[in-house]
Amino acid sequence: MKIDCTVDGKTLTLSLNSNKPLSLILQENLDNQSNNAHCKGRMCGLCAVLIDGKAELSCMVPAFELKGRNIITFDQFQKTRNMKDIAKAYEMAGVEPCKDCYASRSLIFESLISSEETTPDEIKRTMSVVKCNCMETADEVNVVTKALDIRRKRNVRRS
Amino acid sequence: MYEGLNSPSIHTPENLAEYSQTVLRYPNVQIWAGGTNIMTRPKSYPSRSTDSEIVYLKGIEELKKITRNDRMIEIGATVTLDSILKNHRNYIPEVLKSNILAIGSPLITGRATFGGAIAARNPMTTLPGTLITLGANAEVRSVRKKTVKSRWIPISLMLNESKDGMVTLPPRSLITRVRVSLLSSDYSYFKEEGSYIDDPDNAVAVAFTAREGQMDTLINPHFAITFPTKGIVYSKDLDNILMQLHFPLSEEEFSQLLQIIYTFINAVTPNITNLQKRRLNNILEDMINGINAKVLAPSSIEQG
Repeated sequence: MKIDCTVDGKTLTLSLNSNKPLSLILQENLDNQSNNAHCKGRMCGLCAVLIDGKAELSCMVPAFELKGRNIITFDQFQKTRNMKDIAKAYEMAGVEPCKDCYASRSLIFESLISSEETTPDEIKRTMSVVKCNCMETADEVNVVTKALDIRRKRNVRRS
Repeated sequence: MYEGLNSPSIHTPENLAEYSQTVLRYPNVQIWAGGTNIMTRPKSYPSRSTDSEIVYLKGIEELKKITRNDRMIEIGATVTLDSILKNHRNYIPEVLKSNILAIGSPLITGRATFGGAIAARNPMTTLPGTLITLGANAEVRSVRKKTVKSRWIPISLMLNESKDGMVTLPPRSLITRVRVSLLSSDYSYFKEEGSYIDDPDNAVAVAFTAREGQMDTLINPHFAITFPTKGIVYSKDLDNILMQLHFPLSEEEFSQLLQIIYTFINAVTPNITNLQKRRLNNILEDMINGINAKVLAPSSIEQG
């Protein structure tokens, strides 16, 4: 099956098995460096990517759903200003995710910040998908709140 | 890897008529709504079948709709659990809301569809048990020899047809809509211990709804226990037993009730694990304590 999609800003035409999970496509076909988790759909929460700006678990997304979609992995996202906001929020909150979940957690934080869904309950529920225990729930709420403040200030300065 | 293997053909019908035609042409087609249940199966990829076909339901407009009035809400099969929570949070029954919240993160509930969560088997989700307690009905569309039949079936009846505690649809059938009553209940309880995603063999969930009756009894109690890999335990006889009880229950009465519940469980699924038993005891104790507390609360006594 031929699939046209955009991955990390590059428009690609991929020839793939139609039901291949995105997590495997990133690892095997695109040699993605940040996405090295394939839990075979056990929902470990370590394979998040942004699809059209929204965080999704790449192990749950089949190839045929990717037609025309815009996928951003941590490889690309780590170079953006938005990631700098989140990194700054980590620093201000005095916490940082471990190496295993850094990429996934940061992308899910970005999804929450960009959709402005920042009630503690919503953050807690969203982040519950990441099975890594390196970060407390209160710290996650703190990071999102701080990153949102930083983002708002940046947007005000820009306008 | 595996690119040489046969890639399933994807059919994307835009309406139910097109869906019916596809199913008639390819009888063994795999139905794909959100895909959460399919993608979590260990052997979902690569596909071993040489002639596999997938029918992708997300393009069918009829299945995306939600309609609501004062008495009931009708939910299309491909509506995601997260959108129900986001758009109808204040209207849906408390037990349904608790169930969706317990399923987990919006990264999962944003993909999982309402129809898919009912039709999933091995492991089954906790949703059918909850819908049974709410007396929900599902519109089932069956395709047989060029004729298409639609009928509304109570979800509890889908359970009885299989006799193995699993929700079973007739062959070549699709859930298109689910109708849930919005009539309020005084008692509403949902709890899951263990996760049906991470450890389905040891997970257990209980859903319960009832209205407050006179003399500290319950009216229309509905009670369902879900063991994700073993089946749902639901019986009208058990509901009738609950209706005859006078609350608050003493410890002795509670252990008698537990014994009765286990008789029903053993009839459906005798091989539950010790961990499931322990978890179920905890949940039931919590549930009965909740009812006892509500019955003993001053406002309840005044009303009674």
